[in-house]
Amino acid sequence: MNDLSFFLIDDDEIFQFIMRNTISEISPNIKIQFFSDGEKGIEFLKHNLGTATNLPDIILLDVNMPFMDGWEFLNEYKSLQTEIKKDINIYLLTSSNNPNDIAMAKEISTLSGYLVKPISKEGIKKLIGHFPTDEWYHNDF
Amino acid sequence: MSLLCIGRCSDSNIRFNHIIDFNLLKRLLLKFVKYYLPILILSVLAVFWLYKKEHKKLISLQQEELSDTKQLIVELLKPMIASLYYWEKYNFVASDFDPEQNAHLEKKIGDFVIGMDSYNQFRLIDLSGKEVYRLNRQDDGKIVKSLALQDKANRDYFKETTNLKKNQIYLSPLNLNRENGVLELPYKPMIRGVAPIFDAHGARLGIVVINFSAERFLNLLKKDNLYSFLLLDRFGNYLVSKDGTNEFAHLIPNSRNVTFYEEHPDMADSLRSKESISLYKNGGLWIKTELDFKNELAQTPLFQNRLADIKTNNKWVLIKHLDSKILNARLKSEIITILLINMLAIMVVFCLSYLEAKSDTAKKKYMQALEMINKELEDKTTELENKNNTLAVMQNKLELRNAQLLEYNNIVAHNLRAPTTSVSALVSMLNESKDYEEAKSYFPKLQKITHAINTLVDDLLVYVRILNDDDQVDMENIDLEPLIEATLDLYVETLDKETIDVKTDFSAWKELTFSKIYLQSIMQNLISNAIKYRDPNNKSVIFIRTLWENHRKVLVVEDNGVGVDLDRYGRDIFKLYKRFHRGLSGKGMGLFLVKTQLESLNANIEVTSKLGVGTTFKIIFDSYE
Repeated sequence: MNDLSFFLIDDDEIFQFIMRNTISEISPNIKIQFFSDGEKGIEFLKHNLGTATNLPDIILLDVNMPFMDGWEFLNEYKSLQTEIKKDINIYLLTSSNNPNDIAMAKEISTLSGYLVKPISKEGIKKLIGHFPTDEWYHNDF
Repeated sequence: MSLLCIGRCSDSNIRFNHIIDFNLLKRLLLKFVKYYLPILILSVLAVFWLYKKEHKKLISLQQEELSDTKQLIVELLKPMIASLYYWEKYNFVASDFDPEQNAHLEKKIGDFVIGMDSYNQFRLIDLSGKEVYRLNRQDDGKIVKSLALQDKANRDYFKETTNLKKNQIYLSPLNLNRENGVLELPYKPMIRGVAPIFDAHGARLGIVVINFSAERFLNLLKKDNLYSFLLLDRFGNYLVSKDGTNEFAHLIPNSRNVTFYEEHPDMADSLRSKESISLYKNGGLWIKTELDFKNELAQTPLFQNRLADIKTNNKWVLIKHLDSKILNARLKSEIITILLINMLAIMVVFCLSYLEAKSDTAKKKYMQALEMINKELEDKTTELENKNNTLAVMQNKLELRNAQLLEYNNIVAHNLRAPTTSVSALVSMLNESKDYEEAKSYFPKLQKITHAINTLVDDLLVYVRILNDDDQVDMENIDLEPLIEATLDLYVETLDKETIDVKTDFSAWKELTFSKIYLQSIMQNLISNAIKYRDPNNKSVIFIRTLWENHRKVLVVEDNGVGVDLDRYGRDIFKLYKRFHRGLSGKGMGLFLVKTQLESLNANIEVTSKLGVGTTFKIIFDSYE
């Protein structure tokens, strides 16, 4: 667990700050990389398709972002998936508790679960302790 | 009608009834005339027809009667002719014309005259005009041989007959008997028949004269006539008249000698024009036929076989006169019948017309009532439609309001939850901070969040104000051109510096009723967007124009800027805090406000855009505009 590599794709700087802070508290070995929107995330993946060391174990993907939102990112990711040399678990971060959105999320095979925002510091700690999961994950809210 | 007019419209109802009564009367009269007129015409025609028919019948009947009378006269004359013929053939000898020697004739002639009671005299007259033999029938019927023989040499009938040839028989005009040159009293109307006498050697001896008393047959003619009968001679002298006036006036001295033709000069020509004729005069009917002795007697066998010949000037005129009183009396019963039928017809037609007019009026009333009900229904329908429309408008508004509230909800839920959670996360981090330095590092973050929250709350306030204000926004008549000029002036520096070309075309419409403040804000947002997202590689053009679409005013703001990929961002373009252009500052509030302001005043906005080509915003105003 301590060697896990995270990508956080979210435009919320404060959430990024809190994540960084929280993760460094848990373990200095956990790597986390930030992207402020989906487009930046997918660009990075495209450039590092073959380099497994640069690829994360887990992507926390915000839905609501400028330029490219979470859903679009998932679409793009799907077309790249076969070329990606690593098993990546993607968890959707959503502020929506709309049942339709949740149902839509469950339809997407590349997703491993979703997390309903906001997530408190304790929530983050708890999450990181569980990752990665074999079954569909969703936090309590 | 009355059902619909309870209470408030009773006055007009009364007036209306008067009109209906008048209409009923008018319709009744029209119908009556329509139905009765043919009956009346038929009746008049029937009367005429009957009149004609009756008169025709009458005329032919009277003609027949006249012809019978004619026949009767002929029949009465026939024996006389036969007698004359007989005596002409008697084989008189010269001595028979000597009064001294002709006594032997007494027995023979006496027997003959006795048998012929209409023969008044039998005479033989010699060539010099002296009577040579004479038998008289006395008033008591006795036959007496007259010894007082007279000289008739000056009498017409003698003069007329001196030239009679063998087998010629002469009939004198009907006149009155004279003895010794004086009219015998009482008047004795008579016709003299004359035949010449020749001896066996053909020497002329004299003439035989038989006086035929016309008294009896004249009485006969007068007697059986229902209507006034006239017998005239060829000159129009009266031989027979109904009451005896003027009879033989031409023969009687000191009497008023007027002929029929002198008395009726207006009919003379017509009556004389034909042998048989009928004509109407002063409502009376005159029927005339002629009796020409020569023609009529020509039918007798004696003349037919040319055994004898007749010489006579007698041409009588038989006239019947039916005066108007008698004529009309005959038609009276028929006319009364027709009148009665007409009266009955009038009654029936009147009743029928009344019933029909009444039913028509009822029908009309019914139709009017129906029309009124229909109209009311139509009014109700229109009212209902209006209410429906109002409801539809309200429903639209409610749906819009619902969508707006949902939007508001989303904004609050998504955009407010994140910073508040972040604040609580930061606060807990602050609590756990080991030293002041670490705590201090959290403050800028907190400040950033509170700033974000403030901005959000401010924006929300703007949004909520628009939602709440939509009923109180001042709508005014806006002159579009100066408003847009003023908006463009705000960006005049940028426009000049970047040489952005702004074109306008307001030819379709120039004015509209809208909120001035909203329209200013909308135009500012759209123009600033067009400037902000211009394509630096192209000469920028902003084209603002008005046009009509489906009877609605449309305002178009078109640019040739960088454009937006609507396939990617279409559903989000008018949403709050959505940004699509990296590197270009933007809060994501402008188009959201534009849409909200337009929708709050029933207008709408549509966008078409293509990356690298440009963006077109189309504002569609409400159709009342």
